[in-house]
Amino acid sequence: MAPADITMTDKTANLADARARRSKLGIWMSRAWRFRMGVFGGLIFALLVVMAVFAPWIATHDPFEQDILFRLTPPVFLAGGDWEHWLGTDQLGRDLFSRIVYGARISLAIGVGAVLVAGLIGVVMGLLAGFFGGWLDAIVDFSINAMLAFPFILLAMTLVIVLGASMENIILALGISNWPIFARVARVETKKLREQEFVVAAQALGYSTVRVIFRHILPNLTAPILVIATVEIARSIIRETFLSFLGLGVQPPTPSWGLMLSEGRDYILTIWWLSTLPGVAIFLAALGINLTGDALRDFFDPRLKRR
Amino acid sequence: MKQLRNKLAALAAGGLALAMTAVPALAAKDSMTIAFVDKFHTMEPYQTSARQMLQMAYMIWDPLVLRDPDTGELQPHVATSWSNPEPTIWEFDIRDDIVFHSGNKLTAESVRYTIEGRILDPDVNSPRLPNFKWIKSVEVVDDDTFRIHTHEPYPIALQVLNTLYVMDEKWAAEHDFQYIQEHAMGSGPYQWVEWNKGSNVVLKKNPNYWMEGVPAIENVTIRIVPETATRLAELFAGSVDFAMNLQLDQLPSFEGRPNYEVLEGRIIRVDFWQFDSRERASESPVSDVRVRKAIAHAINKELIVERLVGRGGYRVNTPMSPYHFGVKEDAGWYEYDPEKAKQLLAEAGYPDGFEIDLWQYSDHQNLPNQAAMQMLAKVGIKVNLNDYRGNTQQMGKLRRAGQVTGIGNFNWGSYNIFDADAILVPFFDMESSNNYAGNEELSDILEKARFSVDPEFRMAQYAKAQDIIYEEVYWMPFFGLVRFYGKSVDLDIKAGLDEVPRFQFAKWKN
Amino acid sequence: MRQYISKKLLHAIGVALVISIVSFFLLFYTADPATMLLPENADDEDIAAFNAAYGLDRPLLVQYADYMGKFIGGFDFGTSWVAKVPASQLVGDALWPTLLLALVSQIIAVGLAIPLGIISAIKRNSLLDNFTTLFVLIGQAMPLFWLGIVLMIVFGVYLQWLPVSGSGSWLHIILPAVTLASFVLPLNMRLVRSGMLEVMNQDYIRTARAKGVFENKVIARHALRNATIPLVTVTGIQFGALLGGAVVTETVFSWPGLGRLAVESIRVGDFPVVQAIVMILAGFTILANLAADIGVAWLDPRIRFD
Repeated sequence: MAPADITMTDKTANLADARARRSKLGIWMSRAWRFRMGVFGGLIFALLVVMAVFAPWIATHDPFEQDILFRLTPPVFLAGGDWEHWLGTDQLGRDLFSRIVYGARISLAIGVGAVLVAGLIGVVMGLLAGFFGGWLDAIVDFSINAMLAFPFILLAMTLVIVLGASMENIILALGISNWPIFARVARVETKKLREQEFVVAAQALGYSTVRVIFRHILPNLTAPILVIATVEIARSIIRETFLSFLGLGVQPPTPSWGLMLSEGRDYILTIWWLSTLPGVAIFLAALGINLTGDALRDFFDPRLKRR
Repeated sequence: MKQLRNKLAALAAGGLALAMTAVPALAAKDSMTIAFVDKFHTMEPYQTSARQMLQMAYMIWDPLVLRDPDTGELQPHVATSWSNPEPTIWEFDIRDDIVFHSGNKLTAESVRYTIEGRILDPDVNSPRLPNFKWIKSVEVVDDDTFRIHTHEPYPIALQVLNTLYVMDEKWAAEHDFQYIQEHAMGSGPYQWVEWNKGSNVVLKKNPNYWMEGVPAIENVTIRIVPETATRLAELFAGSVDFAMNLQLDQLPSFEGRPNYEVLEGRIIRVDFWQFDSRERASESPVSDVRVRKAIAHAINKELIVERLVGRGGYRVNTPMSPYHFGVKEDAGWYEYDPEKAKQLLAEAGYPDGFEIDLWQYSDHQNLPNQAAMQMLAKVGIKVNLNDYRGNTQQMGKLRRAGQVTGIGNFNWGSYNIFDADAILVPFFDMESSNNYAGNEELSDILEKARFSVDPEFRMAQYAKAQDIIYEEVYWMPFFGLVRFYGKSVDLDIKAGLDEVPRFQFAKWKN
Repeated sequence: MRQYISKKLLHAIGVALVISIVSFFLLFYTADPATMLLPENADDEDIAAFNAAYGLDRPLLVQYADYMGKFIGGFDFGTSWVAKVPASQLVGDALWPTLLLALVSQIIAVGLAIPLGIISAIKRNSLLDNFTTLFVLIGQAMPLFWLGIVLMIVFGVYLQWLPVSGSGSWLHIILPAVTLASFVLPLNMRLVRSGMLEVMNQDYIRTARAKGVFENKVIARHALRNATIPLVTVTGIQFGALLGGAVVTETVFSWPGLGRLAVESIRVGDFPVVQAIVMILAGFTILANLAADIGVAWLDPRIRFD
């Protein structure tokens, strides 16, 4: 899209002109606003990371420490609550707040881990396919379509069943089920980039393939891949809750939010905090990460830069 | 083509059903709606081992003998009396006034057909065959008398016949295998009306039932509600009168809801930890009996039972419930004594503890195990949990393949056979693939007890067996389970020790 | 065109084949129906006999060949190990409820997505846009079963406006459909929004605007039509993805559909049924993709030479 459309907007009829003037101010305001959403999301993301890294200092108790005599005490804002366990205790008397704090580690590990696995496999395959074309491209494209046609949840379930439900395996299963998303984007972008002048020029200058890939293609893939990656982190966190629902998520006694959510779901009628508080944590985390991803997407979108 | 037609019909039917708007009103007093956990796969009792069939079967069919829900004793039902003229022959007299819902009479031939035609026949591939393979043949003496010939003397024959639901042989002859899977024909208090797969089973009163005043309630609908939270919600919304299998921590939600109450049903299912004492799966510290004793001492079973199993739950000292035949009355047990546990560990050469695997596959989150794990951590034993909750079949496979390293947590329902044989043989017989103890003497004792029909002799044998298991700590018996059911306060019904609520005897209080 | 179609068709068949092979080997390798189906007290002999009866003691390749033979012969997916009826019958029975649920969910989701997407696109970057984005993201960020259970408790237990679960009447579908709709709403809304944005910047729209055509008419006539095309294509393809949400929704609301069947079958290890579900779902998705590809190629001839 050339600068022509802006001038056209300026030069067209009154209606469009007035709109243009109004929207210039609007653009400025909305950019700040859009920024706001992204900033909000980014803050939450940052908070998540802080919680994960500094868990031992933020948490008030050992998340594994049980105290059966004090099980199921409610949070402070309810009757019977106690500041000792300000968010209450779970079915084994473990402090809920501490478990939620440590849970950030688990969720982040799973989200980022799954994305790393999927991203690594996906980007490599997509890039190679897009760059070299030919039969390699055909095979990769075929695989992508095949895997996308396979119902994700069944694949993840089966993998976890076959491999066993440990945290590493869950990351692996989620990652392996998800590489097509990265591959697809990488492939399409690589193909586009390959036709670009600077790549053609580089090749004409005799740069080695490796160099072209690493210095010209890869850096330009970062933007779209990063956008996808953020969204997929949130999706992986949510997917772990699905697996937990089926009993195939992170195993007790590890304080995973998905596990807590799932184990507490029978008690939403009375001991609702068991499930709801981790649920809020998951919600905020996913929301924050999604907003960050949205903001990144808008940030990188070439069309939006004009306006 | 038929499939396509069926599908179109189903779609049309579904559309029709949806066109009828009606929020289900509060259950009227002439009907009872029950919420089951798992769906039915078939309507024939001998083509499934699933528990939900057991729980429904007494409504539609009559078994030879019926269990008293409180004591567990077997009472005459279809069979009025029985005897053991020879060790391998059981003779039964049956009632002459039982009529199937089809109008056909229930005779000794019906029993013979049920056993030989629907269970023993290799062509039908009945999954219930293992429970009945001790039967060689059934001999019809006359309309009201028959004899069961067994291969070997089999003392627990009656226990098994508790789940022999008599089928209508004339009706079965008129229909093919597939039809029988989808339609139920019995002689019980309720007639089968229809089965909407995955959704519900509808039953209605049998007006000609031979027992006086049974059933008291006209209509029964069994709905399938797999999710526990939903089951409870259905109860509180009034669309269900009885909800199966609730969780301990859901019980507080009954407070403040005077229309509903909890029914506790203690059952003979026991939970225990099995140790890989013979190191079948891997080298393990638990091959040393001192270590096993230490573990038993390190866990405060009483506290766990009180707080985490709940009302009605009970601690077991024996490798079976107090209701099993052959249970030792004054069995010893290992007190909660973490100091002693540490001592024993040090003696055995593990002053700093060790790491070990614990395998579990309970159908819901297992709080007792988690608490126990924490207690073991306090004496230095770090436990790695392998949970097969999402994949219970894999657990069984691993157990049989000898791959359960360290400690395996199982619970055993003994398939409703209230006899020590049902729980000890699968785990301690040398030929069983579940054997992680490897004790020949024990295995011999069990063999002898299995084929004797002398109750005193058997009790003595089982007492010996339990002593061995206690000394060697092959198992750490943990607790007996209790089932929690939610029900409307006006529904009068009993829960059975055999995990089967007596639906057919239920009545509305007003 | 014919060349293009046949190329795509071959592609589709290939994909289907690969999926069938991979899932077969994955599932049947871990198969052990004996443990699930036989009573606790069964011994090794019984188990061996059982396995033999189901042909599970044969080498895997033989089992696969047998399986494919039956399938190609007449869409016979074998008999369910648990229910003794053809697997295709079970899957068929469960398919319609899920289709219905998916349909209603999509109607709700699309019904909400279009107005929300339009608002969002027109008032781009305004507060309203941000709030709608936020609202819609709730569905994506909130664990589905939690939402379902909360809805069920609020509307079923406390307010008692709707039935809690089951599938008897029109009212029964509302809660599960709303829950499932929240799952697909974000994507739909984004599609409408970006579709609208893309179209709104096209020349012919500017021309119309410049000519003084009333704004709303502009939107309604030109923009909307074009914005909803990607939505329609995606709806069909989303079916496979919808299953993830259906699995949870159907279990929570006791809805007798494919998702629930899949989970229950995997749990009991009833692999003929699981395999049937995998293949049918994959088939759907592949067909939808194929139709989309062909449709797009028909509309835009340039793509045929890609």
